[in-house]
Amino acid sequence: MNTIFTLIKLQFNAGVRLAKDKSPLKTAFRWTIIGIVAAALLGSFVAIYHTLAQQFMVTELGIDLSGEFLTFTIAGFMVIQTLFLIPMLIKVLDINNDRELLLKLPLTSREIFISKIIVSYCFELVFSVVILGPILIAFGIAAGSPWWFFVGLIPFFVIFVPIFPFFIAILILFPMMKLSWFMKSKTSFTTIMYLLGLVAGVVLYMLAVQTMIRPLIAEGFSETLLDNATYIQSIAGGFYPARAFAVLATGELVPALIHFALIVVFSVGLFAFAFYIASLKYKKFYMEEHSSISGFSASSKYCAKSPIHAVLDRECLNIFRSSNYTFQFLLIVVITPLLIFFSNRIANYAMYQSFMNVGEADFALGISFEISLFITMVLIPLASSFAASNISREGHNIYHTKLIPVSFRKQLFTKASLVFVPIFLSIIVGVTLSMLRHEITTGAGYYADGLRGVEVIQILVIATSMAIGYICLGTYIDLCKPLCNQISTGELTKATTHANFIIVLGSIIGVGFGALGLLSVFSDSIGFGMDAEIFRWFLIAFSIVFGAVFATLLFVDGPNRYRKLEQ
Amino acid sequence: MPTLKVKNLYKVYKGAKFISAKNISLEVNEGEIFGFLGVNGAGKSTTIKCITGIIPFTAGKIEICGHDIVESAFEAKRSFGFVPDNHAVYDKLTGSEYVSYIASIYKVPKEEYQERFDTLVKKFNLQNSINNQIMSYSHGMKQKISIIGALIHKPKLWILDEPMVGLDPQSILDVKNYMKEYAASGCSVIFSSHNLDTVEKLCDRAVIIHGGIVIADINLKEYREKGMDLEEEFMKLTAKAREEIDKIRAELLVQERELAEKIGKRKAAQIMQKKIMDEVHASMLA
Repeated sequence: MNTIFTLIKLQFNAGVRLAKDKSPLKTAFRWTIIGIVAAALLGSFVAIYHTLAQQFMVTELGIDLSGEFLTFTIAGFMVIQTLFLIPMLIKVLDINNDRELLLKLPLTSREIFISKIIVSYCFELVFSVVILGPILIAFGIAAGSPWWFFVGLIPFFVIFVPIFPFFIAILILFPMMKLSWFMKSKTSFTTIMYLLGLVAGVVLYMLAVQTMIRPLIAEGFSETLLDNATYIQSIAGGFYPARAFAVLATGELVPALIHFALIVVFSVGLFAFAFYIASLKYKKFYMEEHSSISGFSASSKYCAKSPIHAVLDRECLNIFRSSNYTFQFLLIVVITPLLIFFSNRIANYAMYQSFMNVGEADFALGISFEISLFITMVLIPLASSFAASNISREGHNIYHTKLIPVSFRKQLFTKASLVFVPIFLSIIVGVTLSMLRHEITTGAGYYADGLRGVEVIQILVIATSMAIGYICLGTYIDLCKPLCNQISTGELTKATTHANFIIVLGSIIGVGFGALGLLSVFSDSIGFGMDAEIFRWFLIAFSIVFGAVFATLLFVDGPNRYRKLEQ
Repeated sequence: MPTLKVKNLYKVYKGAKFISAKNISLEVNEGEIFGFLGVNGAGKSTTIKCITGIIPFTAGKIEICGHDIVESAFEAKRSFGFVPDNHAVYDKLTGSEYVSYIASIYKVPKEEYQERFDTLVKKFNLQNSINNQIMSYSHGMKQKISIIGALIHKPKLWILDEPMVGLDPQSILDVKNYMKEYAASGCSVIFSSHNLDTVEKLCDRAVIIHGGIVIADINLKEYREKGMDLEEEFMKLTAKAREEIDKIRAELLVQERELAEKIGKRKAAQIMQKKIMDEVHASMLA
């Protein structure tokens, strides 16, 4: 047992120990900022959730769908947690990570596995406490739940809900790991499989949202709920085991007790089953020489490339052979156009219905520009933040970049371009999809949505300039204080402070742009006497200046800073 | 013309309490094997990193094959190949991908590449693993691929930082033999090492560095002819230098501590750093 505890401690230290600042003041400042941003994001999310939850408790119409709403909430949480859990489990259970170290020690594969599985569950529990906890509190407040819901049921949910995603993740993970051993490039295979799965998930989710929201928009919220209450109840009934948790919180005493017993029995049973399956497979993986540390073999021919071309190729290979980096970066790049497309369709449908229902306007336009801009502006910093590890990612190979006879400016340009090009393509696909136009002329007037040509160019200019700005700023910050000695070579990096800075800055700018943009549609001006059209030009000017300033900073001062690096 | 010329090299790291390389001057001629000797932290790696342009230096001048490492950085960089002490190579690439990457960077013509590549791969016995991902390589194999990468453009100067660490006896012998062969072809080899025996047998000349200062410049051909013992000389010289340098450093630390008590740690560190820089500038002027 002591061995397992020691291993758990080791895993925690390796997984979550954060880099310490020398100054306690700096540490306090960093944690205060992280705390404020996290609280603001979580607070906004919980507030929105609370408002939404209240909509399902329309008692004056004689329906109460709070139980169904809670079912969907828990089911959604389980799906998200499963998605997050798979890469985390891959990382924690990764046999290449510590195989050499641990096999030297007098440990059994069972002890290693138990410690790793406990650590995985603990990480999951943290996720559950931070996300599910506040959501359930918001639900309890909206539903006017009694005190025992907050004191007894929420901790119970937080502990037991993660067991089901845990079980599912393990069942998905091991066949995938098994399959990947047969592939030449395990990294590419895992990345592609997981990426495809997630993209399919996003598409299905957006289609489901669209299907659910359209009738709500067309018929009005309360009426739709009333008409479809039985339908919603029957769907929710099928969402087992999420439904069992909801019954526990909102049902009568006897069914609640039965479901309580069922949850406990199933949880323990599933945990034991997952544990059994995984320990069997894990032992096999651990003890056999099925390690991707052996890498792959590929013959290649020399074709004399230009130095810049060679650097670009090397960067590409280094990045895209790292599953962490590739997956997280490409996920955002692939999802951006999908989100732009679906959000446009849903929002424009609302505008269209409003036009058809009111029927007063002579002329109405959709809100494609504002929606596309909003989604793009929020997602671009996420993708661009990967540039904030451009230098740290070199790890101990940083000396190579200083030795080679290729100018630092060109190397910086290559690194920045590699992040920029996929983002740029993603924006182009997103706005092109948003050009699909829906026009209608009725007695009431004319309605049109979808992006116009000029709007496509406007969004491209804004988004491209902002992406350039974020990428250059991220690279510059990383260049000023790279973390080459603290990260593993080629991996995404733990240079989270740099990346987080870009994400927070980008989120603030993105939400500001989006909110002001939408405001400009629904009122004649956004204040300061600025009308919608002028506001667009203001955004264009701002983004061009933003991009130009940071590009200048990176490409003028950057080479000098690179030369001075003492890594 | 010397292959390498270092004149009055000074290096002070940002925030450091001491000078890491102090007034180092040396010359390496064509066909020579030159050794850097010194205990851990003596300043060997710092000097080599300055020579290769990996870190900037505070003062002085470095020329490689007549090209200034600061003013004509590209020409200077094309003239040498470097093997670091940490065996860091891009381990996501295969061995052959890594070598072709380096070859492209140094613009090696296609017609010359294959012959050089085959010779080096055979020489270092990597035929069976050259197409494998570097992450699967052993410590010694990584060192070998790093050496192949450093030599694929046939540089005039080959620089190695602690090249024998982690290599098996056969590989050590291969590297030593190739160093001799390389120097015999008219090129120069510089390497740092803790191994006095290797340096004594292999090098034509060597310097002993201690506390960032060159404390001896030794002609090893003469040593060998006269049957002198390098180990004995090394111990004697470094012990003497350690005594003096430790004394100076201890005094500096006392001064800083006293200053820190009066004006605070941060300001004291700044003043000491300034003092070091003034010392560098004064030496340069002198």
